[in-house]
Amino acid sequence: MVALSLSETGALATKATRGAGYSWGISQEAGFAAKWLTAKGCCGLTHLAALLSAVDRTGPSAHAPHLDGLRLTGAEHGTCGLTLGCLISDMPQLVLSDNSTDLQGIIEPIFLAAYLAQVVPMGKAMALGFSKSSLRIGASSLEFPRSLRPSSKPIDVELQIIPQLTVEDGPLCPERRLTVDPVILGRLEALAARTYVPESDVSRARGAGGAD
Amino acid sequence: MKPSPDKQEMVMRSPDRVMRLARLGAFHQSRLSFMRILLRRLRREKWSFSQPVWEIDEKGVGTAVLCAHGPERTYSLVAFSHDLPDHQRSDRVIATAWDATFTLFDGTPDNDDIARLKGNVPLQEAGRVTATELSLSRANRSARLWSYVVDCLSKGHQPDPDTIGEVGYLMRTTAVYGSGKFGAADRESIAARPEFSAPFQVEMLNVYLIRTFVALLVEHMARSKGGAVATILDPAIRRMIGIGNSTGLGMAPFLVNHQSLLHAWINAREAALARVRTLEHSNKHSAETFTTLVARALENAESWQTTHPLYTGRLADLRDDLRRLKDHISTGALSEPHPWDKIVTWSETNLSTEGQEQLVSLVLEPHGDLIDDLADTMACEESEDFRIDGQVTLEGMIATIERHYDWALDIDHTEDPAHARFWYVSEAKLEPRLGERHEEPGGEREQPLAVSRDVALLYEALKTEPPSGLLATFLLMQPQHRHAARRVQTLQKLPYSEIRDNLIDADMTPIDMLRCKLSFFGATKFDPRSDRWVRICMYQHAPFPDELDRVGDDWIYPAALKT
Repeated sequence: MVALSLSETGALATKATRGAGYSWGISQEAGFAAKWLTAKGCCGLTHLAALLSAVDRTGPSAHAPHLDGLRLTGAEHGTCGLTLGCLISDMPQLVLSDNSTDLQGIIEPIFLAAYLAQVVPMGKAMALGFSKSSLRIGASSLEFPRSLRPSSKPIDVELQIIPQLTVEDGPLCPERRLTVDPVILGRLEALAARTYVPESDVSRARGAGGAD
Repeated sequence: MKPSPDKQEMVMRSPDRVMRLARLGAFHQSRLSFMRILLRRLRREKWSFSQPVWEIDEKGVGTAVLCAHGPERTYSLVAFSHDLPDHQRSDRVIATAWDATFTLFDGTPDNDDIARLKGNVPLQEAGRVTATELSLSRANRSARLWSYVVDCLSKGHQPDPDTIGEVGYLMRTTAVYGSGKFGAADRESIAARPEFSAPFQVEMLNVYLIRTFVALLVEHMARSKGGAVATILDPAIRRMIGIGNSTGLGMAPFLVNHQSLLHAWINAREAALARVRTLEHSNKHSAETFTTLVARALENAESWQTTHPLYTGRLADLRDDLRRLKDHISTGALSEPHPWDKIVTWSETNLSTEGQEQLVSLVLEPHGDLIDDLADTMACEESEDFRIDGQVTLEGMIATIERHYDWALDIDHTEDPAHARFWYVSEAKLEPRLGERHEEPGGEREQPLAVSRDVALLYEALKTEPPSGLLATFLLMQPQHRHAARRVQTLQKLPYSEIRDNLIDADMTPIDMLRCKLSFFGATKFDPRSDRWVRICMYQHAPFPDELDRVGDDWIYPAALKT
């Protein structure tokens, strides 16, 4: 098992997501969300690996949600939790205009938590329920069941605005290091490698820095 | 007295003037440079230093620990010194052996810590450190100076100051990693500590302690060679020894990838300049200090050596500029009302860009009381500016782009020279590189650093959609524009957050980006080795730990050593 810093977590998440075919902008969001989740004790990279594995065959665009005005509909073969999280971050009223919102067929809904925390109304919290799991999200806190496991399968989610968490909001724990399974790490690194450019005769000849 | 924020803002130079590569690439260190911020703190808080471990043999091989004790915490440089054969000494990022390797440890390491670090730190990228380590770095000896200085001291002589001054360092760092790299502590975990609240303070402390270690090591080796005859460095000569650094393209994307931070740095410097420009009069102290430092800056420029064609001309210009500035102030320019504003305005038509930016640093020097507090504004929480507001209309985004990115829209990115290059990450070195789009493969794996082109593409795409549409909907349909949309919204809030030039143009000079960042570190003696690689000096003339309370904050402009 390998313990990564938050900085390494964010950088790897960004590169792997880009390598999986997402745009740079969404990939940067993956770096942000993976870091945020990890700082809360939830291994962002493990969940990201499950998400990227689910979208790898069909590509990210097949898993993007659809928006018609304020009407949100999911993708046929499962909606990417990361892309949906970005949309909620961009347009919070999609989930804040009602006290309760049902979202169907979401892949790795844990990613929504990183974004809901950014938009949670003052004095309120949010509850995210799926597969018998219940997460509670405050402006800077995340309560999640330790039994939560990564999954590539789409699942239905219920989102509710609830009174402020009774537990105290925990501060960010940036020094927290979570270990990552080497197999998962290898999978993400392989995706990240798709963003690298192999050396060529021209690049070797040109050199680039140091004493090259 | 500090001007009101409104007045300060009124006289700040416009981003359109400041944020050009040619100007950023002419920046000089200043009072707000990170190594000067650090040394002011060490002096103010009376930090003490100790050397609990020195297990180095006569060949210079072994382990040392140097501790810096602050008011609340201790930090320790753990140094592993090696005997590297000359043929293995390389500054390249793919090198696997160095003359010395280091980590900055959070606290005082015990024997178990040192044993663990000994198995990892000398391996650098191939090793692994933990959250108790704040940095990872390495250095190589100067082939030109090391043996010469050891020989001189071993025979009881001092090295020749001119020879020392020509090189400026005995060791040159080839990488200083912090902020979570290779397992080290994340910036977030230490940012709340006052001593690390300003940017890059870990790295600056790390390099400062390396410099101390290097001076101790060279004296140790002279003693081993010369025995009782050997002497130690004269403090005045010792201060001439800085730490060299060799910086390549790896550093260049930082300024593009950290928009909020770039704004914070430039904004602090421009705010400082604006505060000084609002002063109605100079006083005896400020006029005398400025006059003295202009003369010393000229001496500095005379001793600044480079043979690279990119810099020989501008260095000659700088020397001419400083002579012209000296003449100008001798005519009574500082006695006039609003002298600092007038002298800066005068520089805009009488000095080269290099000279203008040197002047900016110089006018800040006598005004520490007025500007030093701006150091507290140079760090920022970048995640605060990360979120995109998707509820703005496309019409609104178009207007924002037209207002803030007119310089990008003016570029024809379809013409060859304007998209001649692409930034990528090298598979072999995992480092940023700059490729020639029409000569090298890999353009499809381009990094998102072609800001002007990407914002122009966003602009064109926005214009094809209904103006009343929302950005969130647009980005959902066209996620390829998301990174550019974020940049646009960031620049709207933070005007100094974008380099206003085409970073993939055939004529773009990457070392301008390196110079900008390194000037904020406090680097001097920029010596380009190509358009993408520069050697510099850090802490040259700075006080050593035992003289922090005796050498003033003007150490960066030293008086010539009388020999």
